[in-house]
Amino acid sequence: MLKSMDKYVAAAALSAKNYLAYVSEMIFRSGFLVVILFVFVNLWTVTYSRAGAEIIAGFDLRKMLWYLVFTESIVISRPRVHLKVEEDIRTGAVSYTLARPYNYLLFQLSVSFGERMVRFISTLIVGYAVMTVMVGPYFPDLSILPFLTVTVALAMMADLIGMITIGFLAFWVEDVSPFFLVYSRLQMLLGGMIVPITLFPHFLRKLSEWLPFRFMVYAPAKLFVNCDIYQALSLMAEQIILCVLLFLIGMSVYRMGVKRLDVNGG
Amino acid sequence: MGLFLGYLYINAKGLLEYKVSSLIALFGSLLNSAIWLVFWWVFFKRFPNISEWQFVHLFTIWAVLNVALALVSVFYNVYKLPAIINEGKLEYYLVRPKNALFHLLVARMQLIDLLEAAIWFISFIILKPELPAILLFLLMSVISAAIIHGFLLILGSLGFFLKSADGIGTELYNALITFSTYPNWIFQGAAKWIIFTVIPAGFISYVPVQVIYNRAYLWILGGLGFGILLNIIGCVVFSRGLKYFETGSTFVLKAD
Repeated sequence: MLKSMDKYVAAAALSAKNYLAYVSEMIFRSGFLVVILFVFVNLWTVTYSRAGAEIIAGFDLRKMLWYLVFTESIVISRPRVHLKVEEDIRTGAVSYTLARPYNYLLFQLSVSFGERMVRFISTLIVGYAVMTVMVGPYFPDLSILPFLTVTVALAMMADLIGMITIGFLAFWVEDVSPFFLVYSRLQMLLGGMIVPITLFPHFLRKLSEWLPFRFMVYAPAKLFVNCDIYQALSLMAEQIILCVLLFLIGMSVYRMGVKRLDVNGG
Repeated sequence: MGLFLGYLYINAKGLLEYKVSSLIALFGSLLNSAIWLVFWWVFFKRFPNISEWQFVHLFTIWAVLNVALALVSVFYNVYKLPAIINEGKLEYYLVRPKNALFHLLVARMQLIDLLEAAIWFISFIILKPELPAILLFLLMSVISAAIIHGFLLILGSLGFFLKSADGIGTELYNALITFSTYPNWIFQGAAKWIIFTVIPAGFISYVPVQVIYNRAYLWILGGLGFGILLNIIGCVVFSRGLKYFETGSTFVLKAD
């Protein structure tokens, strides 16, 4: 079992290595992150000050701002893997992968995961630098770092499997972007990217708790600012279950799609 | 005017040709705005007394911005100016017996945005069904469009002088749009000045709210004057750039 996973680890490592070549360019083009963090610092500083509250939705001001750095880094680092899958299906390239000794979903997951880790780390470095200049540095508890790393990796995997599954819809429709749009916007709001879900009114919070997006964004970011090992352990268990469930759904969609595959020409 | 109407006809035909992809783009834009409006609704529900602004004010600045952006989309090539200059597409306009700047600006229109503008406009009417407010909304949308257009024209015309104008322009434009979707009262110190000068987002967010809700009519003159000024500066930078311009080996023989 472990041996058969070697190829996927190698694909992820190769993808990460390839993407390392673009790190400086990516950091240089982080203007949007700087702007949005600047706006968030202003918005929440004024909000805490005018509301006269020390804690809002379970976060003090510094934690709220560092939470947002983390959520932005997770979401901004997302590669466009759904478009790659869509292109493979539309051009028929997916048919060549059928004979290869790998699982197409796991292969795409490995490649996009390698890329995403590099993008995430470089985005987080920029966000960390910007926020340090604006509100001072933040040092998470070192004991939480291994748990945080695993949690972030699982969050990204769950998200990427979701995106690849959306890409599989190209077996039925020509353009999957509307589906991704709905997915990404729901994740943005109900995943807790722009505001912690604890700030929501009751019904929105309930909705968020029923959907998987909070495991992809809110939960790892909360762990970053609220270092709690027990919380991390239960979160990891939930994320593993989510990844397995999404993988099974993704594979079912893929198998249904492949049955419909007609490729013309060579 | 004939040139404008001609391109309007061509672009409208193009819109009908690609109905589905245009409607998907419209849906995406509306969904994105809707998500942000839910955020603001949650925010003002949680902090109702945070300022004199309420959700309705935030909705107004989003509506004004979106109508303004739709009007700018009639001159869609203003977004593409650096690419047009650097990729050999400008020559097509230079050899025609028309004003090159006006010709290239109207050559490409994203007319689906006007449908989005109509949706925002109707939403505003439902929200505030008062004739003076509706007229002021339209006026402020046109003024905001002029400001965004002038800002883009200046940034785009820098493409004559800077190879990296596209990247810098995109970053500054994104900053303008981001700042424009937040209330001005969150900005303190130097940022308060920046949003009325270098990145004039204050004219697109704060000013329309002041005019529509507080009837601060002097701001109309301020916004209008600033919009005209930006466009004049944009035209001057463009014409200076034309004198500086040297054609390359790439030559594109169609309007884009």
